[in-house]
Amino acid sequence: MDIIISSNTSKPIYEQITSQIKAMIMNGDLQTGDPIPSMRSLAKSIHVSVITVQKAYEDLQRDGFIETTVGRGSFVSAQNRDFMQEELQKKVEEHLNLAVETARTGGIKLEKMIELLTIFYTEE
Amino acid sequence: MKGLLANNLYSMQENIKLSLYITLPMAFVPLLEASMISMIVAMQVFMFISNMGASLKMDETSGWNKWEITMPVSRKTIINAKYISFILLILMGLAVSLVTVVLLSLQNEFNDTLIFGYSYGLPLSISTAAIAYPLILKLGAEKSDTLLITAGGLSVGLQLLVWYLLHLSDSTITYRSPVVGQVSLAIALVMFVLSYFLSVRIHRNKEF
Amino acid sequence: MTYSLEIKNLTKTYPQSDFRLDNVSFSIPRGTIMGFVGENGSGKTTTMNAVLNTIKKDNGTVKILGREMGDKDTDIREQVGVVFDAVNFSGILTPAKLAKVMAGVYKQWDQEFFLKTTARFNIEMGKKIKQFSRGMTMKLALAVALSHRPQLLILDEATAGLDPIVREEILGVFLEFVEDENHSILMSSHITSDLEKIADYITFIHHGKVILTEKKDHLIYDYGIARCKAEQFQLIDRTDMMAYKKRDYQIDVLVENRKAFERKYSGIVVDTGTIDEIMLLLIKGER
Repeated sequence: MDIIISSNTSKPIYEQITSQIKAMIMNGDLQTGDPIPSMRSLAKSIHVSVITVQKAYEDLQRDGFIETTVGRGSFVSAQNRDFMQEELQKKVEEHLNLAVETARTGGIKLEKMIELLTIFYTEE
Repeated sequence: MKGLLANNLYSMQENIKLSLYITLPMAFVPLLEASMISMIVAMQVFMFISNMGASLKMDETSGWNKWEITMPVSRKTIINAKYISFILLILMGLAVSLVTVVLLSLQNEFNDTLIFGYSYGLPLSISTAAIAYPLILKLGAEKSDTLLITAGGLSVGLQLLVWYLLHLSDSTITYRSPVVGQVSLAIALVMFVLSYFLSVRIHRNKEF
Repeated sequence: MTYSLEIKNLTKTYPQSDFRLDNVSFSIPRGTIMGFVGENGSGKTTTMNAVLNTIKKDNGTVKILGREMGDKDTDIREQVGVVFDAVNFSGILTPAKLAKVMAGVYKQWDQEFFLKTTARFNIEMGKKIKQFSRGMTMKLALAVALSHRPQLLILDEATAGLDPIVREEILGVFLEFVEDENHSILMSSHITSDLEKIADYITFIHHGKVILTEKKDHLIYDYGIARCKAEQFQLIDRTDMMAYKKRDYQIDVLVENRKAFERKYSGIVVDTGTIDEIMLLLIKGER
């Protein structure tokens, strides 16, 4: 498991942790039931304070990505499909929104966009 | 306690070695001049304890005196260890002086000035430690040299005083009379015990 | 929540000096690292001394691992590892001899751990401590403090004067220490970038008074420094500013909630602050 912490971004460290773990779950690097490192060992490994990792894990838990059981540690949660779906859809919406805005400023019609989208989606 | 004693002895190690280098060769002097024995013995007994200042100074500058308080020992234990170390130093002086005595006895040239060496050196060592340590605790180890010399001077003065008082009651008593040594030794021992209680009290209220 | 260290209304005065510890209170939750910051002479060392009984407090309570510690409570001191801003040990000793001393004092002395830690730090066991560099001395003191297996570490400027590589190494050791959730650290440091990395909480002390204790993440992500023009400054509600400092062309205002402030006062730039900047405003700024 790789987690890369950059101190050169304005993104708080706990968000860097949550987004990377979410990404790993969504792209299948981490499977349901897979253990993730304990807060304290992750804090040690990436040289950040315990509370920072704690906050990241709390967020992940709240969003249903991980489960923590006392004494056994944290695991990738089983019921994260819906949340994943939601997260992914949010991402798609974001990108589409961007495309729509670009299209509007460029005067590209909706029909053209649908056409393009259909081509892209069915291409493979 | 064991650890504290070890620390005290380790930190005095260099001074102990130095004292050995000085006092051991001295053991041969009476072989050449037997009348020197009392002076040599007195010096040997006194040499080890007189070096206590250096390690006390080191313990203060290094911050050990403060760090020591954070260890799982009571303040009283710290003082106990110090006084046991002083006794050990005096015993080391005695041990070296015994070498001198044994060497001289091989030559079979004993004289009664030997006892004066002990009756002078032993009370001097004990009362010097007894006076100096509480003063060093109170006034700081950086003044330990001055305080040790002062304590030594006071100890000599004390013996002179003892002799003077005894002389008043019995004019046959000289400075070298054994009774002067015996009384001085008794007083020095009492002072050592009092000094211990005083040091415990000073250390209990001392801030580091 | 259980605390490793609870300091309440700690007061200490000195007869010949104006300096005093004035009702110092803060607590360290178990399993966390508390950074203790303030200028020289602000009272960090005095606070630590009072906690450790090397000086006598006038008033207040200090609980270490839930209990008040008197001279006789040696069992509590078994659980506390200490590094002061000094050599700490007699210079004539070698680490090997020091270990024997410690083994004779601490019931829980872990010789194997000490050997492992000193080897990791490249400490020469046979060399006299007085010949050690500052970095080596500190690493040795830390190895000793850790090797009696304490639950609480109290460190006074333990990373001061060390090069970045050694500091990084030592910070790693601290994080390793708190991997055990019963372990906590109180550390004072002028190198706030170290604290930004590993501390969970920060306590600011100034002129013997605690001015703020706060979660570090809260300080660096939520607190902010608003850079205002004079006319913008006039519009800000006093209750929205923690402290401010006038500079030549701008006024810096410390705010507790950067995002809320930005929403309320649009047009004012609000930066995140470092611990140093926040400390500067808290100490030197007006209120």
